[in-house]
Amino acid sequence: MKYRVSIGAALAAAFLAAGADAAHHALGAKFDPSRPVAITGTVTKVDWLNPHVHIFLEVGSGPDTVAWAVELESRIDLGRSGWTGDELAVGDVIRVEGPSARNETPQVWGESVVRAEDGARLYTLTEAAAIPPIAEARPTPRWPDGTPRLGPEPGERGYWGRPGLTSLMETGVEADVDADGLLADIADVDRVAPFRQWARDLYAVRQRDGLKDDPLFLYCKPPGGPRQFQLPQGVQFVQEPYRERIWVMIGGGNHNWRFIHLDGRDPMDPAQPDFGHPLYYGRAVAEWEGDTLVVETIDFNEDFWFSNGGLPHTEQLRLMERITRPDHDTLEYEVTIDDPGAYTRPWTAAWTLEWIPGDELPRYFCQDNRP
Amino acid sequence: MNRRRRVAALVLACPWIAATLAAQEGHPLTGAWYGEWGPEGDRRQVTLVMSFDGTDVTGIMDPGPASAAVRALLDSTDWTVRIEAVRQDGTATYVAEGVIADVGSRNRSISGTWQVGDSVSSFTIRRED
Repeated sequence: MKYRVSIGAALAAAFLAAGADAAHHALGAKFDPSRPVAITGTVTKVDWLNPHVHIFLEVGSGPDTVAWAVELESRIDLGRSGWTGDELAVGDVIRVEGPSARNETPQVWGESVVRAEDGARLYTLTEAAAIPPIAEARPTPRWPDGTPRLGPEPGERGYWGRPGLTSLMETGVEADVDADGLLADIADVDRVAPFRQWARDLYAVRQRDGLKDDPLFLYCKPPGGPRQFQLPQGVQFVQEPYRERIWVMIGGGNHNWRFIHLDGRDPMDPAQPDFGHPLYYGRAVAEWEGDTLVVETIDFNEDFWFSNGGLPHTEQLRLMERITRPDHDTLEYEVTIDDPGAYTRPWTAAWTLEWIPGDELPRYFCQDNRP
Repeated sequence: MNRRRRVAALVLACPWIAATLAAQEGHPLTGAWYGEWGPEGDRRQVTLVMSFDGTDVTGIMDPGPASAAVRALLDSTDWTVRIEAVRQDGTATYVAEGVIADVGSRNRSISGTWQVGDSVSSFTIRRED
């Protein structure tokens, strides 16, 4: 028992020490797909928490025992696939395969987790199966005045998720990119957007670094700009017609929100108490063009990444967004980026989001800030 | 003056500087940098606040009565930097040439040579919140 305590204490200390600079992260930032490992060990603890579930193992025996940490998807993702965290108990033996940590510490991303006793495969994701299929196309829900509802109807639950594009990329460009915005081929950097040289080179550095410096993950900075429509935890709209504004609630990140004003205000009115202080979500004004909400947003600060994948921006960033709900279950999002500080010309990207029925925005907080 | 007091003085001195202090993820030179320069045994503290207007990087060195106007050039192909600063009263001109280290980090740094007149020494400055 004394031996187990010492191993556990060492592992906990290492885990906490790593947390300061290896908190929630893009997968590629922490693990190297080119260095896979396969380990078999005894479970000492299951840490069923966001943003990543961990299983701790003892691998080997006697003085050669090594304490490993197996990292998995979030509790939310695993829960949607039917896992509860009770599938394993301390003392169970499992075999794990997956990419090992870039910093060569004993950590592995659990691509495959198999219980030795019965060969059961654990913690696989089946999210698609967990979300009820949509039976048939339903019309766009509307307010009494005919304006499209961007959020749920009264008594309905649901939000927008499953973005069709997880990183900004100019319309017409096709390049493989993962859920965090990491390009499969670094040679695609030059095709993504019409960069100015410094922005291109900085984007390339961030990509080569595996997005390790993403301030959303490291510092819980808000996902301003189009990034709020790229996160796996989705977004929700709350329309307040009587106050002539729309809230855009952010499912991931630090669960904050953005206002879109429809009252005709001047977004740069110097009478605003926070005027002169550029914002994470900028200052957004909008109007309806038919069934499309056209949003202009300016006055962003530079303290965040405005897209997965690390595309740079400057305070000159101006966004024109067009948001349309062509039917009940589809949200079309188009954004034009005009930032002469970082890009040589305005450029456009577009994708869709799907209605996730019967659920609220996931309880997922980057403030947990765990490794 | 300790670091907190210097930051407070900067924030109170100029809203532009206050906004720039918060800028971390845009142009790599934008923001507030703290460090030191000079020969061993005679190191001097320096504060640089720089911003990017889409074309040029300009700013201020050592905000206060003895401040200097700053102009900087970045070559992002190798992350080399040249910074020129001229005191308001024209008593000194500084030329710093260096390389940005860990450019993707919020706490990136620049190290290199620091020239005042015929005197050449080293410098290191670090980007901080």
